[in-house]
Amino acid sequence: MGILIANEVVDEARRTNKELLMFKVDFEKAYDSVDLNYLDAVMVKMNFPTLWRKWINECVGTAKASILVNGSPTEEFPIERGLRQGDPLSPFLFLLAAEGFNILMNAVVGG
Amino acid sequence: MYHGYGVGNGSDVRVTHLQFADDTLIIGEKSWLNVRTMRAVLLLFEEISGLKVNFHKSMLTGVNISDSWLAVALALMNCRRGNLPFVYLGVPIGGDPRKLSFWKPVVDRIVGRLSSWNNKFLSFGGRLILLKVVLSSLPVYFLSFFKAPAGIISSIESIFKSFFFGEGGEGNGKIAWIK
Repeated sequence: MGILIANEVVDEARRTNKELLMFKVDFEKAYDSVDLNYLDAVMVKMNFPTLWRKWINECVGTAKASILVNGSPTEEFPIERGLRQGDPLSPFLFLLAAEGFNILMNAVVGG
Repeated sequence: MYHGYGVGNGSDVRVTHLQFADDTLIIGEKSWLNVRTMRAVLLLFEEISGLKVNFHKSMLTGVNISDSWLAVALALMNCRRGNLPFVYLGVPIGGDPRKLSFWKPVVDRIVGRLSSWNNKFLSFGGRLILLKVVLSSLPVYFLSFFKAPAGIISSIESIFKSFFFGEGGEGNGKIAWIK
């Protein structure tokens, strides 16, 4: 769908000699950098029930990490960002994160 | 604040942005306000979501926009200049599907998939499955958006045929249909 719209827009701009500006956004390490607190905030805004949010946070936010520094592990710390690679839930959670961009764009169009 | 690109005579329908998973395209009319708003929105989104926009890999593309104007916009956005056919969701946008060069990536990709699969190492049935399942889905994705010239269709088919029946020449490419 998006491809068809993008193509039509470019085609129309060329045909009618209208000025068109397009910006293709490249997100760096998209999955690895989603802020989990932000994700939860999005789910609150979308009226996800508390129980659901608890389940999802349990799935995604309970991982802990520890780093080996000179051979000795540091104290464990909770992971604050990043969806898990290969997790069946991750694509859907990323859509929730990306929805924030959609909301922002719609806000600047309306305002 | 932001003005999307108006499609049609009355410009009633305004396209502002397209999103599919992490592939995002922001579309608008030419104005400084738009460029500044685009940048502000992206920086704001970076801040709240933790996602980072790679401005060096992002591309600003203009249609019917002068080079000098675009150059200043590029400096403002701190990004690369995109040229017209550019790839969105794996498909070239703004190309001419009637030209043979438009289909070159498709043909190249098929040839690339086949060259590593020497047909001698696969059985007859194996080759059939490889062609049917893997390779025909490649052009089908493109063909669901664009009408291909007849020449491209026949050249793809001839690649398929020569892979299936063995590369031509030396008589090894022949099949005994009747015994």
